[in-house]
Amino acid sequence: MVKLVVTLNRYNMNKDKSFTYKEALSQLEELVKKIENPETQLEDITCEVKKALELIKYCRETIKGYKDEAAKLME
Amino acid sequence: MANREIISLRELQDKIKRSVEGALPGKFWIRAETGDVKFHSAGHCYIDLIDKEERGGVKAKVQAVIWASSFRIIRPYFETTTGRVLEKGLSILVNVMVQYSALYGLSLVIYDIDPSFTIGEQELKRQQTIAKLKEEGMFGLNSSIEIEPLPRNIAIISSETAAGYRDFMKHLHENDYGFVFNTTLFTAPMQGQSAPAGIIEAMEQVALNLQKYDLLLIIRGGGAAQDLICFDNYELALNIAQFPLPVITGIGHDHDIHIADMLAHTSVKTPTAAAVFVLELFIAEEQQLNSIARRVFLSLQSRIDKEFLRAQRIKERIVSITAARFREEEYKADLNEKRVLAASPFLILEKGFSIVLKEGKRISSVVDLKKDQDISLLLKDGKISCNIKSIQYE
Repeated sequence: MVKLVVTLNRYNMNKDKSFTYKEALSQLEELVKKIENPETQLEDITCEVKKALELIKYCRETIKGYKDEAAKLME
Repeated sequence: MANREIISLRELQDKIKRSVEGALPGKFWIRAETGDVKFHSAGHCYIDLIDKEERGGVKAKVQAVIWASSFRIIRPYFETTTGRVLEKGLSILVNVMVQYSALYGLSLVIYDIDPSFTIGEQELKRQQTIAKLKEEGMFGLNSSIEIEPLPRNIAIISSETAAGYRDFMKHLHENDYGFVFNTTLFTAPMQGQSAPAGIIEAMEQVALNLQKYDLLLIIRGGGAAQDLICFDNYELALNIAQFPLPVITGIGHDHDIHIADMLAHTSVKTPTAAAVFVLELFIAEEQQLNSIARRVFLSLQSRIDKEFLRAQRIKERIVSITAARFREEEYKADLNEKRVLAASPFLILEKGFSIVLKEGKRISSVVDLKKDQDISLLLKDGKISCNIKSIQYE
């Protein structure tokens, strides 16, 4: 089986090479919880929402990248 | 001493001649075996007639002559009828007259030979040879040796100049199938009295390098019956039967089968037929190989097809599992987006709702508020500072 490892420099807005999809997902989870938490300062929320939406975009691009690669392999 | 009668040698010889010829007048039929046979340039034939004991020792011997005038008639008749040349070792029935010569002594003059006697004796001898070989267990001995599947190293006993040998070599080596053979010729006289011993000697030569050969062929082209009589020889048959390699005989003859053929592994009619026999062994083997190869190919093909199908199914599974996994991940992204958007206060403000803030924190319950406290109201495009006048609980 081919191991689908994608280093995220292709998609990663932070240019952090060790940043993986899994990490993006767990960061996203944290952000969502923070946004949902009423205790969070409103000033922070703006920034968190922006970050969360960017991560979602990143996750989608990552998934699409993997999907294309898998489709190519299955040809 | 005075009364002695003296006669000359010639006179004595004349007396003997008269006594002998007088006592034995006319012709006699006698049976005998031929010893040395000599042909005189003048056309006369001199034969030693002998009688042998059971054990082979000579017990009677006399010189005989066939005058050229008789021999011209007797010889072709004898040879065509018996299929044998007049030579040493024949049993013959001859019509003779006793003759005594002052110069050469006693001899018999042969006037006739009865060929039917020789034929009978010859056939009798042949049957005795067969019976003896059977009794000794020689039949079926050589044919019980299994021929190598691909006998390509072939020892041949023949005569180099024989047409049959050339036919054989041409047919074997120039075969249409491209089979290659190693042939080694061992020359031997292939006819006449010296043939059996010569062939046996050649067989001994082959036996010296037995591991080099798969098969022994004894071949010669067609010939007159008298040329082939040597293949009825007991010693030769015995050697063929006991030879450690399969012996194939191809002694050109159409009618009678010789004893050598009976004891060989396989006998064919001509040298060319011997080549065909060897080639057919190869053709049969090739056909068998081809059928095995076809079976291997077919089973391999079906196996490949099976494995291909299996791989195809595995691939399909991988495709569907991967697709499911991607759908799951995409769903996660969708869900997160919904949650973010749902929790994001900005959407609410857009819809005309406002958010109550006390010291920067969102307030969702009146319980957290008291009269006269300062709060802020957040709207989509600005903020209002307020003072609580009263609080109503619901």
